[in-house]
Formats: sequence, structure tokens, C-alpha cells
Amino acid sequence: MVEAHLETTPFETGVDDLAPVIAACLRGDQLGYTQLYHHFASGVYRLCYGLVLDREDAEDVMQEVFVYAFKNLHRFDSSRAALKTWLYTIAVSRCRNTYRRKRLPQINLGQLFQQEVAAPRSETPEAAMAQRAAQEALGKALASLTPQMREAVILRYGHGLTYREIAEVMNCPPKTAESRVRLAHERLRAILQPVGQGLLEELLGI
Amino acid sequence: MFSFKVRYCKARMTAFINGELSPKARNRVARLIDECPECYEEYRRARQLQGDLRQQLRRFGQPTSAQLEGVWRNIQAEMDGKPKAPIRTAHSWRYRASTSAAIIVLLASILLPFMMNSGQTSRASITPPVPPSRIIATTESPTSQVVAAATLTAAQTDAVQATRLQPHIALPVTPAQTPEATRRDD
Repeated sequence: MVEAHLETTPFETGVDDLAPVIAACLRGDQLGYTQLYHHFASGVYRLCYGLVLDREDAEDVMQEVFVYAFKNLHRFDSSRAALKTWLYTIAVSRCRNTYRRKRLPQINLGQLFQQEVAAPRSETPEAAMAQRAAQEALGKALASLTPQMREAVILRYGHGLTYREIAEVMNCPPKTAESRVRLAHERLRAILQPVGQGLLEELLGI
Repeated sequence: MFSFKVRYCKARMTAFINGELSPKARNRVARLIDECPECYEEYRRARQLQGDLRQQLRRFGQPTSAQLEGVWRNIQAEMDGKPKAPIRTAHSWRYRASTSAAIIVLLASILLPFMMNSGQTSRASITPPVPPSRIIATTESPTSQVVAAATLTAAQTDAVQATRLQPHIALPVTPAQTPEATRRDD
């Protein structure tokens, strides 16, 4: 493959504009692969990390996803799904394998509520620390969800997918996807809100 | 203690803000939010949480460019058929060690019973020779004779021999049922 560096300008185009890039990849144009990677790498990594909650596992899964996708790009049918949905479907499937192999630790929610973090209102080191703490709290709250609920809520709120797209990625009916997002939301509300105004609200009032 | 109205509202709040309620239920929740301060507070919190989740989950697990570049190098290596660069040396070393240990234990558990039983098996296969007098003269095949003789006890063998040597008892021949004989009987 052509040596490419990620410092190049990211390929930010709409989904429709990816058709020529895919065609270029299928012709064997190595630059096409680089562009596809630039376009989706961050999203796929965030999705993998949100699901497996481990940096190294997320990197491994992401690598598997792209290698599989590049090798099977000829199988992708743009009339059936968007490339993003196809990639996310592969990613969710690989993440499921990972957390089947390696059960996620259960989080003691009591510990979460005992955290007392300052919520400063300016961009200071304290603010950065509070932001990190909010992310940690969110990570712990996500770990306490079932894998299906986690997938649904991350795809909905983290990646802005519609219920139809979530259903496609999770291989379930759209109504099921809807109820999984609702259940996850309610669960997160139950976890994060008992702390006064709500842990996130408190932490994120930066 | 929440009133029925607040509980009704709370149970449907997530569906309400996600736009998943039926028009009738949606109107009812909307009216409650307008009229009941507790319901309004519930709505405000749920909206806030949804906003926070959207904001935070979009940032959650944001990769660094170094990470993405590292993964890209590995992808290139894998696509070129080169061996994948080891990401986790300690992990892979531990994996190899534990796999080797598991294979050794498995092999030992399979081979050990064979090795321990091999002595007993060879002892069991040595059987004393059968004296020729114990071999029953029958019309069966020579192999089955030897096997039968080896398995029967001496007493059983004698009983079998006695049965075979019994004198032949001749039964009286029944007269033939001819028409002459029948008439003679009358």
C-alpha cells in the first residue's frame, strides 16, 4: 500500500461523494484506501472504544475492521446500506466478539456516586480535570449497561444514527432499537441523576 | 412521594423527548409539563441529560493522531502481507506462555493414562496355556474351541463331556398309519 501520513487533509465529504473513492479502491488505487481510512477512522475508533472500553482492544478491533472492509470492499452494496453503516456493522460484530472473549468488569455504582469533582466554569487545568472526570464517570456508567443498551445509546447519541440505521447495524427491528435507546437513556438517567442536579450536569457546567 | 401525574410523566419522559410517543400520549405529557411544576422539572432534567449525553458521547474515546497513525501502519502491513507489528508485547508473550502451558497439560492428561496402563495391559495379555485334555472335541471351528476351553472351568468342561458321551437311546418306531393297519385295529 502507498505510504500515507495522517497529517494530510482529512477527506471530509458527504456519503454520496464516497462512491468515486470506493470505485478508486476497487480499481486498486491505493490513495482511495487512505482517503477512506481518513474519513472513517475517528468514528470507528470512538465506536469501538465506547463498546469495548479499552484503548488497546479498541485499536485491535479497529484494525480488524478496516482490514476486513478493505479486503471485502467488492462485497459492499451501496444500494442496500451506506458505507458508514456497513463499517459500523462490522465494528459492532467485532466488538461483540471481543467482549464475549473478555467479559467487561462490572462497575460498583456506589463508588461512582461518592466522587466529588469540582465543576469550574472556565478553561483552566481544573476545568480540564473536571472534563476528564466527566468522561471517566460516563465510561463507568456505560460499563454498567448491558452490551446491547451500550451499543444502542452510543450509536444514537455518540454517532447520531437514526433508529433505522441502528436497527441495521444491530441486526434488530427498528422498534427494538428504539426501546434499547430508551432503556439505556433511562438507566443512565437513574445512574447519573441521583447526585443533586445530576452528575453530568454538575460536571459539565463548564 | 410522587403523584400519579408525575409518575406518568416520568415513565414517558425519555420517549417524549425522543419523539417516540403516540400523538395522544404526547399531548397528555405536553399538557402535564405545562401545568405541573414537578413534571416540568423532570422534563428539564431529561432534556439536560440528553444534551449532555450527546455532547459527551461525541467526545468519548476521541483518538489521538498518533494512535490513528499507529493503527494505519498496522493495517498497511497486514494488507501487504507483512506480519503485524506487535502492539502488546507483554500480552502476546503471556498469551504464548499460557497457550504452551495449556497444550502441555492437555497432552499430559491424554498420554499419562496410556503410559500408566501399558504395564497392566501387557501383564493381562499373558495367559497360561490350555491343556489339550480340556479342549472339547466339537464340530466348531478350532479357534472357538480354544476360546471355549480357556473360558470354561474344569467342572463345566467335565459336565459338557459327560453329556456328549451319553449312550444313544433308541426310541420305538411308531407303526405306519396304513389302511391295512387301521382295519386290523377295528
